[in-house]
Amino acid sequence: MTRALLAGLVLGIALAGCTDDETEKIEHQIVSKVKSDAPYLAQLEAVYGVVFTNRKENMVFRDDMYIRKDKASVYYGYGLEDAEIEVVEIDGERVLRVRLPRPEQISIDRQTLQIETSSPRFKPVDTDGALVNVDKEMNEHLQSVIENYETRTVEMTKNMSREYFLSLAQRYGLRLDLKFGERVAPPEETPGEAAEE
Amino acid sequence: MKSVKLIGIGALVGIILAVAIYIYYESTKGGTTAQSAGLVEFRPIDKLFTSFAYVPILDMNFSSADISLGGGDKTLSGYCWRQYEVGIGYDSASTLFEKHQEAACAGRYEELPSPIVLSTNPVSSEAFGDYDRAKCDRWDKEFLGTRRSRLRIVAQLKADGQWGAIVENSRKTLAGFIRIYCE
Repeated sequence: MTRALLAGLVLGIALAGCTDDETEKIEHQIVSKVKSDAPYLAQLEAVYGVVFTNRKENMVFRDDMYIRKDKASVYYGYGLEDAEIEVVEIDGERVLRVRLPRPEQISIDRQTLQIETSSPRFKPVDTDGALVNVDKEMNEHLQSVIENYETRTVEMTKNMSREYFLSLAQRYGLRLDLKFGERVAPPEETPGEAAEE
Repeated sequence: MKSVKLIGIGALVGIILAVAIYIYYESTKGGTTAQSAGLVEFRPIDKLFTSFAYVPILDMNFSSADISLGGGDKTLSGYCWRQYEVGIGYDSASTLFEKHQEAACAGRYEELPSPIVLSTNPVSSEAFGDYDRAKCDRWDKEFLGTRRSRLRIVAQLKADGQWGAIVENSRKTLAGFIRIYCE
């Protein structure tokens, strides 16, 4: 997903929000844009429960509180541009030949299960009293937690893929020849240029 | 008598000052955030992602018409802005093989189904003015089998003229995936 191809970008509008002395220049794209047209096959879904709480203690009136519970599905799989999936004939036998790169995180789907607040007007604030970008914080926290499970999810994805391609091969009466690569095959390069993963 | 009056006025000023200081203090006071995330389960899936998009949702509140402005103009009183990373493609890719193998192998792309939104992840959000934070978050809450954000995202992609190209590209990708198994 880091290979971003911008296609069909129509407008980019800069909105400047100046509400106080700490002027923040906010540049937003308020039209949608296609980031990438590269295909990915997702074979594993890792489900996470995510909780975000924010509280503000008040001297006289009751304390302000905000609780949010989300469910995040993280999809793992393979970039098909770095994969080889083809049917070949070897010694009169039809073989499903599959070469897959290392599994990677493809996409995240996050939905809100529950929100509770002490008051509809309360907006979460950070320690300096500035408004918190709740979804940005939740996303960053989730990403750091996901990294802890990386090794396990990579292995699980490979297992799912073996079963997937085996049943596919059986359905079409093919023999399966499946291999996983640890590195993506580097493009043709001049000698001396280091191949970087 | 005069001194009682002065004490009274002094006390009143003191109270007003105390309230003003308190209001100022509360408005600049900070809050504390705590988060947790944990793995629940693994599931096998079979989704073919064909396209990724970056889509905004901007919902605005307007206050009722201000007569002093001539009656016809509304003014912005609050907004909710959410930015999404969107994954688009096909769910259950292998079941699509059987249904559409003939069309894919014959190169009849138009007969292939349109892709759907597979994943939406809000990567940034802002609620300001009289737009409640919780109301802004509810865009991503499941309601009657769907999320409002999903419907709005597709509408936004169509309005921005992106959807047509996404559909065409997705059909070609799906066809390419199915054609591996063509005789």
